[in-house]
Amino acid sequence: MEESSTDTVVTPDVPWVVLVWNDPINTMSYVTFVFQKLFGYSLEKATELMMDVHEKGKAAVATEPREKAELYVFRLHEHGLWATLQKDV
Amino acid sequence: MAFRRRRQADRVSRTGPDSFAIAIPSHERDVLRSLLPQVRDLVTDPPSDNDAAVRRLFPTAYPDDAEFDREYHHYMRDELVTSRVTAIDDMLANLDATTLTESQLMGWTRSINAIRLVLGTVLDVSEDDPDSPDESSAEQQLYHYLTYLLEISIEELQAPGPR
Repeated sequence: MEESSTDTVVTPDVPWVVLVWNDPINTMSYVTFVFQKLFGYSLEKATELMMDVHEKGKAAVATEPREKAELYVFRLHEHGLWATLQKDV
Repeated sequence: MAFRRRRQADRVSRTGPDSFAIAIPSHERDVLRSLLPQVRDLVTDPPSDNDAAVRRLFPTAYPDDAEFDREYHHYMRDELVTSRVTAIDDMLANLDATTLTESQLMGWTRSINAIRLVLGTVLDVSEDDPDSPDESSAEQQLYHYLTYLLEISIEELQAPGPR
């Protein structure tokens, strides 16, 4: 397909990354538990992501279209986690 | 993040697939009864959006895009308020319960953690805070108590079944 105009291009399928950031208040077990509950991750996977947050300062916990990524961020905020989303680059 | 704390007593214990025995002493329940409405007030009637605890409860979603972030807060903030208030009111209504369902206990963990977020922000806790209960203030002891209560609740929620 020809792409004659770039400023009208809609990019609905650009994936967005949900990031969870380290903070000194949320405990390791609570963060692990929330990952299991919200994303359905196994204890192993949730623990691995939690350790990434703890040691590297942040972790990408999901990659989804924007609406779904935003809903995950909302759910994480509901549980008191420090979550943001950004375009996957 | 803070580390897991050692359990001291069976204030929370799983008794079945969807039931938990709650044996929290009444004076501790009274402490929770006094704290929960304070967090509720902060959520429903924040002193200022620049308040550190308020910002911790309603964090930025889109750090790279101010327009999307405004939208997010415009549409989601009320839902976040409602969700927090509902969890706090449910906990207040069941505060004297001796048994809870799994979803009730999960609601408790969210509310207990919301108190910790506010208290921890006010105390400006850091991960490297040494654990020295003797020197800590009443607020710090309260914070440690809430951490303990949260940790034993999570431990029991993750427990496979009655032991």
